[in-house]
Amino acid sequence: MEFLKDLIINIGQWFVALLADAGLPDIWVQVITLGVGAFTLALVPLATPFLLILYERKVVARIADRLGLNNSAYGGPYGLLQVPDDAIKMFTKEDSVPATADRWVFNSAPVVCVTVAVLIWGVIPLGPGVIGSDLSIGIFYILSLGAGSVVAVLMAGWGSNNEYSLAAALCGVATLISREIPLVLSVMAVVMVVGSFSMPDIIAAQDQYAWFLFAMPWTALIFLASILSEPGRRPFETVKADSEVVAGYFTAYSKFGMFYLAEFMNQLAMSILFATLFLGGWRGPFVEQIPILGTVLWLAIKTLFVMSVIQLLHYSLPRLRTDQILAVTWKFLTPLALVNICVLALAGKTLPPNAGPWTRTLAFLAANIGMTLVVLPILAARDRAARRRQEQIRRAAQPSSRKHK
Amino acid sequence: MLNQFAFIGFLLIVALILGAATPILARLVRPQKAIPRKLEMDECDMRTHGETWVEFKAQYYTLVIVFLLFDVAAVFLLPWALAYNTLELYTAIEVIAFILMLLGGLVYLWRKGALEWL
Repeated sequence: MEFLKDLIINIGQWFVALLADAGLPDIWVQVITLGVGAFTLALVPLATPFLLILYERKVVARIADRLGLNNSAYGGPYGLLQVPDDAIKMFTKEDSVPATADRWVFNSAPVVCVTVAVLIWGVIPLGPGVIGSDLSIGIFYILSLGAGSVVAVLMAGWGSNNEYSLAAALCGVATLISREIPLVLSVMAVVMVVGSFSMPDIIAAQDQYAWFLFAMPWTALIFLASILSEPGRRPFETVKADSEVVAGYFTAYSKFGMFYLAEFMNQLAMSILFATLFLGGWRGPFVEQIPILGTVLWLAIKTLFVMSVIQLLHYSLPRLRTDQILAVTWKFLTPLALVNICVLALAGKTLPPNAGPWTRTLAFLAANIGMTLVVLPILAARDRAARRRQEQIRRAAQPSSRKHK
Repeated sequence: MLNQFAFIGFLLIVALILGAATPILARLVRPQKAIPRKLEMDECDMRTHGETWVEFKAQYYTLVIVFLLFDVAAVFLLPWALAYNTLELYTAIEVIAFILMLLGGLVYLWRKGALEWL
């Protein structure tokens, strides 16, 4: 039982001791440990999508109310054989590179896509002390990786030498870069309260305050809205238009398996990021006694919850056009995020300096409620104005249309 | 700290290798029957017209410039956010004035139509 208490860390320490006993010099022990650790960590995001694809396909079959993996007639026992079947098919399928494409850029785009999705996992805390590397710039590092996926999308679109791919890639780039400002600004609000970029510090701060979802709901909402476009989830789904025949920037790829995998890894990484920033990460009851619970129970439940919310949004909302997405991000989310930072900054500093974490949490919450009371009437007024304008256009159009008849 | 960054370096190498290994391994088992028609560039049998690699008008180019401005502003704001807990009230008010200026700029661009899909 003592061994089980800290399973992952114990295995790591046992491995280091094993290498040291073998008489290797210190530097080699470090290099091998780092290499094996990196390999093990990289396998986690590469392997978990296989389970999550099964989960998502069961969910979508139920939401769409159709026969699918929710029915025992498909995919073997519990649908378990479906994903390996797909994987084998993807693996053995013929892969033709268009003759006119830029072969190097074309072939390396999916690799870049997957690499960026794996790299996010380097700084995400998976349990108490279980973290790839506790960078002091953790969350900033994740934000900067966002640039990598933009490059991958552009590489795939440009390298294909296909008009459809290029047009779709440019739409995708527009979506991806315009969600970046609200993303950075919402993360900035979290950093402001925590006072550190490091991911374990963010989790520790949520132990002091309440979960940030309850302390700053608007920040959480802006963050959720801006992470949806990275894995191509509706309503911000122009990166890839699944419901149309054209498959977005990977139209020219005969094998889209790698992009599909990267998309799932991104979705998982974004869910786990939301769970870490706003739901307290691996924190939960009994974690002090049995640390492994934090990884396998609390973090898994929270991540699965966030992922289910994302999937419900994806499968129940229609897709916005690219210009509509840009309007949402630039005319709603960006000003809102800027105002959010102002309001939180004022709320945090107007308190006396000796105020406890709970007072501060309540102050942030009150600031958020105040924001809601201002933002919702403005939105309602704009909505009414837009409706009135449409009504006028409709009335103005009616007599002229009769004349044409 | 150096160890932490070294881990990210290792992770980058491992991720690149694992990412590249899948297509390379798949090349060993997959069939290869390339015929000229298969390698042509099309989408649902609609062939593309003319050159693709030309000057392409991105309808949102004004937005990209605005994006750059806001990204620089975010770089200015992040260090402040990091030090927020240790700062006095007047720094918060200064930053709020800065953000209000940014918002004013955003409203100006909005009015000018720079945020539209051209």
